[in-house]
Amino acid sequence: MKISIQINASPYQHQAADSAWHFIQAAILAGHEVYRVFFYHDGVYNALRDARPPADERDIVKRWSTLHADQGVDLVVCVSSAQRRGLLEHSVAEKVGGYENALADGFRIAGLGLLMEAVIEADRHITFGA
Amino acid sequence: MALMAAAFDQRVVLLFEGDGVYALMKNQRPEVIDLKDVSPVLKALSIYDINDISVEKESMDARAMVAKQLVMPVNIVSRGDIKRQMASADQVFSF
Repeated sequence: MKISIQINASPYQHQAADSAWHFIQAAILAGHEVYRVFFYHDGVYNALRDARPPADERDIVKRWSTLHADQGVDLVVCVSSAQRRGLLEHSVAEKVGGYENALADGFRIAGLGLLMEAVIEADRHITFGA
Repeated sequence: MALMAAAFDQRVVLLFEGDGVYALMKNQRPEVIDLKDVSPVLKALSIYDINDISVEKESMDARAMVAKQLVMPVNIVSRGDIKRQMASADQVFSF
């Protein structure tokens, strides 16, 4: 089955990012395809390159980057959610004088159109976080 | 999201329930608390062929809202109706 994922909540404070990641691991293990993970609202904080959790804790941002590197899962951050929160794409940051290296490896920034496309393309769309 | 879905030729049904019903109140002055006015967007929905807009009667009643306070004419429906509409949708997005 082709599955599309949406994450609405920031990591560490809410369970959404953990639940989504475990769900994706189980889905891939069961032979399903994860078409895209779309990070919306506070979910964009999952893409902060400079997150440095304590060494004995799970690294949620790195998990996503690894998921992209190992499984090629498309990680898309909502552009309007991200810009509101100061998470800028390299080219935009250059233009407006913002921090240019905000986005962790494997993530890309795009609009709601990519969420809509994933919802239409996938057999199931599952949202984590209110 | 509704506009984007409409742009992708999806059939969109908009449901307002809980405190969400306040979004449909007319005579709002959002500038007082430094917010944007969303009513122009609501009124533009029909341009995108989004005409299926419902508000839950129980939510309005709980907030002492009546039909004439709404910013535009929408269907006022029961909680059961809202549930049926959600159940019949391929996807449900909550904001």
